[in-house]
Amino acid sequence: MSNPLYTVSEEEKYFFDLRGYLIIRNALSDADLAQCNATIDHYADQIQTRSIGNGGLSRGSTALKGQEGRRELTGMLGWPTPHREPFRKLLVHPVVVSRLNEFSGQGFRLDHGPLLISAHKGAEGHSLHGAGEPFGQSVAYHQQNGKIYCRGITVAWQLTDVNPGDGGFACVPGSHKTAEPTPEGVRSAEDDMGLVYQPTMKAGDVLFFAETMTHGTLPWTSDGERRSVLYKYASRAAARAVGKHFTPQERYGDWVHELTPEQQAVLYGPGVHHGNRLPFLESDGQTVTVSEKK
Amino acid sequence: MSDNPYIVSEEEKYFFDLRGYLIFRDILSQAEIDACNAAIDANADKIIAPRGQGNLTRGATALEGKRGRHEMWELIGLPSPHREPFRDLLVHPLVVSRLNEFSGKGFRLDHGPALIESIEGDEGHWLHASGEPFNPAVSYHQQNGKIYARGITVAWQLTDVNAGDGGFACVPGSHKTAEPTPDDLREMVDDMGLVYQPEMKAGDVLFFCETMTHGTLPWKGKGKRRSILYKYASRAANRAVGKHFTPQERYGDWVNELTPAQQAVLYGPGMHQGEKTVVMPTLESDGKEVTVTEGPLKLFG
Repeated sequence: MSNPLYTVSEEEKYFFDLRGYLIIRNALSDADLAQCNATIDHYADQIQTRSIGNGGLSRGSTALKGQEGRRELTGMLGWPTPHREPFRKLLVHPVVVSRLNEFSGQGFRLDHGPLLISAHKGAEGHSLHGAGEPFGQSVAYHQQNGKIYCRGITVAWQLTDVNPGDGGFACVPGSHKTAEPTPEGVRSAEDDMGLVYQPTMKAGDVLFFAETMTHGTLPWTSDGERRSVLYKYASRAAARAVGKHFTPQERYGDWVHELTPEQQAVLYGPGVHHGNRLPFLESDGQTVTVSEKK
Repeated sequence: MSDNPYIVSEEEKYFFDLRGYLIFRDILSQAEIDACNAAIDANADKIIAPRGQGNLTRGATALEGKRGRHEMWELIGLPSPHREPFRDLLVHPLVVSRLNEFSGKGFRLDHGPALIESIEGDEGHWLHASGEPFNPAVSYHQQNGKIYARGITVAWQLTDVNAGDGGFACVPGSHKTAEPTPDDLREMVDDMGLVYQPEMKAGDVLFFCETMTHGTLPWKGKGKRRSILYKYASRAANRAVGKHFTPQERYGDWVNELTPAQQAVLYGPGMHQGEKTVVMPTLESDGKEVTVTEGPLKLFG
């Protein structure tokens, strides 16, 4: 691809529309890369390892199981100076701004993150998730008249190398546009039909992917550590995580206590990742009732 | 249509998918209509023309009138007992069943309700929205038997709208067009025979897909036009920005440490403030650095 680092080319648009992801090589300087890694080393004792109990992120898949969980670290934007600066810089890196203006539209926003995903050899994978069917309203993909409208894009900065067969991020290219259900064997990678692709990346590369493309993680097999920092962006009118101002009380004030539970139910803030805090409504023909939160 | 007003029929889904709107007849009882109208009459001093005259016609001579559009907001915050009828409508059984089907469970009130009131001679509203350019806030999609409408407005009719009265008008089917809307159609200079003004009675309720081209024809009815609009959104969609919009409102004062460019990506979701375009910083990347532009949000233009 003839991509000058900061310009979105027609070839890039074609590639992203066709495949659902895009990798920009060598986007980070050696100095920026070293600073990010040194900072993470500084906070290494705060990295949390996820449990692999109850199926873990591999969801019981024999192809994705591992001996330990994936390792995570958050809060980078709020760390004491100077540790936060490299991650604040990545938040609006010129490579990111140009691509997101093109793929998600001006006024794109950070929905949640950043999140470090780290793995040691033997770490389990993550069941493949996302797809064009069922239609995912928070992250849906659409192209019309030469313009891409991608509601959810995750930008994953690579801080270490990912070689062929190492595992880590994997995806089903093109699946952001499918209207057919994803076979279970693909989601579990137990029968991937030859469709699951694990890209090779170098430290300093940056991966953009449409959240609605089927993606997940293969078990980490490399002797080196996996380190990828994920920023989860959304287009202007989309909401993925609900954020702080979610309940009717948080949004409108205590006067909403006057309202019935049914009336309050439609005053929650937007977003689909709500941690089972959202009441849903049913209408049985006579009355409206609040169903279990789910 | 379904015999049971609370069950969404296959015919309703077909009609809404094809046309972009749906009208249910005789839903409110006379007592409910009277309670709504009495509540408005009791608070008539709150009915205002917030944008003055000419703002909504956008210079379209065919839509001109003697007076600007009159509105009343905060209906669910009126003193008791005037607010109760409007709180009841917020989650009316008919609304819940249709929005669960067309926008999905977890739908939410994005903004409103607002009264639109007109008297004879009031101006119209330029026809706006359509499937092209694609609008992520209110886009329409149908896939494998399921409708995904991100923005639906529910308009309760409190007075009659007869043939030729004006008021709400739309271009049926335009929520799915991928071709630009001719300017002459938006301004009603040449509507190509495509603009439709539905007849409705007090107590009817209109559902319409916000991405369907719609607007208002000048009001010619002898009586008042009164319609109450509730603007709903699907769970992951945001139309109006709401109260918690700026980075400071969302995250706290610590964000003042960030550069303007960093703050620009921490604004909350949403495309407009009431009826106004959002004014916020947006970013550009010129190949070397990121710069901030302050002004009306330019979306896909």
